[in-house]
This record gives sequence, C-alpha cells and structure tokens, in this order.
Amino acid sequence: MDKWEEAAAIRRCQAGDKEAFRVIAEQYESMLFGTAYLMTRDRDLAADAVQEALVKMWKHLPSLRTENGLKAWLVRILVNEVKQQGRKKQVPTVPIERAFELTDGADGVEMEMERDEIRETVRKALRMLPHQQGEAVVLRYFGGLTIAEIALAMGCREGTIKSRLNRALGRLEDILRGNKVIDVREEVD
Amino acid sequence: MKGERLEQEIREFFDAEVKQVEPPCNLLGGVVSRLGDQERLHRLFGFLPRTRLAWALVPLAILLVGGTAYAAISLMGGFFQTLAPDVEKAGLVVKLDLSHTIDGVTVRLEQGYADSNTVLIGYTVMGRNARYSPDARELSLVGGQDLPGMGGLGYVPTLNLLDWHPAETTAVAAFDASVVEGMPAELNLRFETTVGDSPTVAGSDTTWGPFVFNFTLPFHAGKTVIVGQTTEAAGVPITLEKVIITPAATGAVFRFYDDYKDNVNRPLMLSSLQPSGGSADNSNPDAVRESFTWLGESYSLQGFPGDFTDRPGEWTLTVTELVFRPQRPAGQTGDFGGKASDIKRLTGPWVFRFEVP
Repeated sequence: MDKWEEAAAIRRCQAGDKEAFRVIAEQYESMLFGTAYLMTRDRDLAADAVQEALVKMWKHLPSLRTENGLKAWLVRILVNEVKQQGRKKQVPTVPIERAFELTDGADGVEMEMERDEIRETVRKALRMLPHQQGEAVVLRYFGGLTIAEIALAMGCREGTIKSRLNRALGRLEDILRGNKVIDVREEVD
Repeated sequence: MKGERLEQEIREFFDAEVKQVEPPCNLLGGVVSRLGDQERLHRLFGFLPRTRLAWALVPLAILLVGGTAYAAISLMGGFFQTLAPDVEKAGLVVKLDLSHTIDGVTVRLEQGYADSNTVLIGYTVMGRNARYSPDARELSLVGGQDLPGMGGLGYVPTLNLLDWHPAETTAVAAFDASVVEGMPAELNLRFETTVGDSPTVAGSDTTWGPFVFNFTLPFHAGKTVIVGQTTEAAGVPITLEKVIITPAATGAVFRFYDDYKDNVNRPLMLSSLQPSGGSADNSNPDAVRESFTWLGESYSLQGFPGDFTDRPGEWTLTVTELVFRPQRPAGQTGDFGGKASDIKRLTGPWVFRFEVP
C-alpha cells in the first residue's frame, strides 16, 4: 500500500469503513505484533496489546490530523497499551533491557539462540542498553520508524531520539567489538 | 564494523527473534468483531450532501478531517491553514474573539469565514477537562434558516497529535451555506453549542451550555461553472458536470456510468487541476495535485484547496488514474478481508478543458 492508498484508507476508516480499517490493520499488524513481542517477550500479552491498540485506533482515528503520523501514532498507542496490559494482568512489563534475557524454551528458541553465537552476543549487547535507548532501537530497527516518527511515538524531541540512538549504537559497537563479533563478521565478508 | 553493518546486524537479530513467534491467526478477526461496540470519538462524514451546493463543501470537509499537515494545525496559527490556506493569506478570515463561560467551562469563538459553499467557525473549548461533542452544534441565520452541519468535523487536539484527551480542544465546524439566498454582503449568524464531559453529549454525565453566540461574517460568493463534458479512457466514460470556485477551494463534480454508478464500485481518483493556461502534467509546477475524492450516492467529487477565483481562461482538469477498492465476493455480506494488494488501478488520462469566465 503506497502513501496515497493509505491516505485514502485512513479517510474511509475515519468515515466508518471497517474494510478500510482491515486494510490499514493488515498493513501494520506484523510490525505492531513484533514490536509488542520484543517489548514483552510474551506472545499472548503482545497479541492482546495489538488487539487493544487496533481497537483504540478505530475509536480514535477520527482525531488523527495527518496521515503521515499514522505509524507513529499507532506505535504510541501500542507502547501505552503494552504497559496497560501488563498492569491489568499483573504481569510486569519486561523492561527492554531485560527483554533480551528471556527466551521461550518450550518452543526451542533458547537452543536455537545458543547455536547462534553472534545473535547471543547481540542479545547481550542489547540487554545492556538503558531502557529508553533500547526502546528507540526497537522502534528504529524493527519498527522501521524514522527519527521523527520515533520522536512522536515516544513523546520526545527528534534531537533526543538521535542522541539516544547514537549512544545506543556506539555502546553496541563497543560491546560487539569487544566480543570480536565485528572482526569475525568483517573477515567473513 | 561500519554503522550500516551494525544496523543491519540489529535488524537481522530483531527479525529472527520475531520470526520465531507467529501472531495468533485470528488476531484481526477478533478486533473487527469488536468494532461495532466501540463508540468513536467523532462521527465523521455521517452525512450525504442533500442540496445542490452541498457537495462543494465536501472537499473542504475531507481536507479538514483528512488532514494534510499537522504542523499547520496550531492554536497559535490560523484555524483554517490546512483547510483553506489562501483564505487565511488573503485576510478573508474574520477574527471573532467571542467567549462565553458557564460554570468554569469556556467556549471561545476565534475565527470565521463564509462563502457560497460553506461557513467555517474555528473555536476552542477550555476548562474542567471538557470534552467537546461535535454533534452538539448548530448554526443558523439570525431570524432565518438553519445551516446544515457537515458532520463532526475538525476535532483538533491542540497540544499533541498523540494526546486524544486534551483539556483544551480546538475545533473547526463547517456548515452548508447553500441555503443562503441571493448574494448578501454579509451573514448574520447564530452559533450554538453544548459541551459534555465525554466525547459525545449522549454519553456525558454532565453537559454545559448551550453556549450561544451572535455575530456577522462577510459573505464571499465565488462562482459556479457548468461544464457538462464527457471523456472516455481505458473504457470508462466520465462526465465533469460542474466546478464550484470559491476563495477556499475548488470542487469538481464527476458522474460515472454503468457498473461504476454505484458508490460501492466507484473508484477513487487521482487528479490534478491547472486553473488556467499550460498543462496539468507533472512537469508543471503550477498544477494543483493535492486533491481528494468524495464518493456521494450518485457522483464523485474532487476537491482542490486554494483560491482560483481570479483565474479566468481555459482550465484543465486531468484525472490521471482511477483506483478501485477490492471487490466484495458475490453473496458475501459484512466485513471481508480486502487487501491492499487487491486494489486495482486504471490509468487514463481523462482530460477536461473548460472556460472559466
């Protein structure tokens, strides 16, 4: 769906068209679920958060003033919903710096991760990031949000987001270099 | 490791992590089934134009609620910057500065504008965490007719795009001015609204008001051009019936035939408008390409923001593409899973040239 099609779908959705809602929801479903999962490491909690976020999108979309802001707006709703879902179910939201510690052994994920030394190192490196830096990294490199969109989603100025990302990347690079991941990968390439 | 390599590493890591966990297969189905129970904050487009000039208001309405630039919507700036930027620039917007407070809740009329298509009122609601209800507002000619509302238009949080429960609400109300008879120099108007403590008055525990204001706005008549021109491309004939030109925007009314008469089947339109001279292709920086489609029951309307009232001569309106929504399977009712990938397009162009006096 290109920008124009999305804008048209948004207007239809604002007018009450549920089919247009479905088109928009399908467009962002995977991104939202992945983001929620990376924040919670809980599949059911992530699914609940996405569902609630989409219902809120339907409810509040008429107040959206620019189609360009939809993605950031949705992510903002999602991030808030993840926190609310955690409180409702008394399941603590997993801070981003802890999220990468957790794996789902029942699905064999942990074993797979252990086989991948580089991924394990990246996971550890991400785990060491402060919460807000980690959140920005998820939104940037998984959600694919622009700096401006992250700023909208996190309620910060763009400069703040740039600073967080720069610090996060610098820290990750130092960690990965220290673990020889960088050198190994570069030699392979 | 270069920055790009590091970023790629992170992306691959996230993708791999998420790929291991599939979302529930009926994630969206569960959402859609709940939509009917949700009270929406604002009812938009809950109307169909019923008067001959009403459809000219629609592009304004679409501009207003569709939004084109968040940055332009600021309490400190003009209320109609997005809706009717040229009107703001030309100084046609009247500063009203009328306020009325009831039990700690203040409604303040900030700005107004009126032409033969529409009357626009920009105002704010403040105090007591008041939520504004777009359904509870009326505009009438003093001692005369009501001007039909154009739906719940223009609910604009002032503080933050992402804050949908602001304590202070900015709103723009649009009303159908086609009931205005003749070409009066000004309109004597009466605006009335009620403020509730929830997004709709019906759902409010407490309401304040009515807040009543009497004021006068200059009336800008604009002009209507009957075109009645039919052209065909890609096997689809389209008629441009008329164009309504006001200082706020130009509305173009199109009619479709046969399979496309029904608004369910009628396509959205990509179009551009060249007010006079030149061509409307992409190489012409003077062409207006920011247009919006509204599907009425028997017509489609394209709206082009901007004041072209002083551009006599040959105009060119080019429909470059028709975009068809996914079709509902035969016999299926209710929601169906139309996907963006199912959207069909027909490339034109359908070109209309007509004289504007």
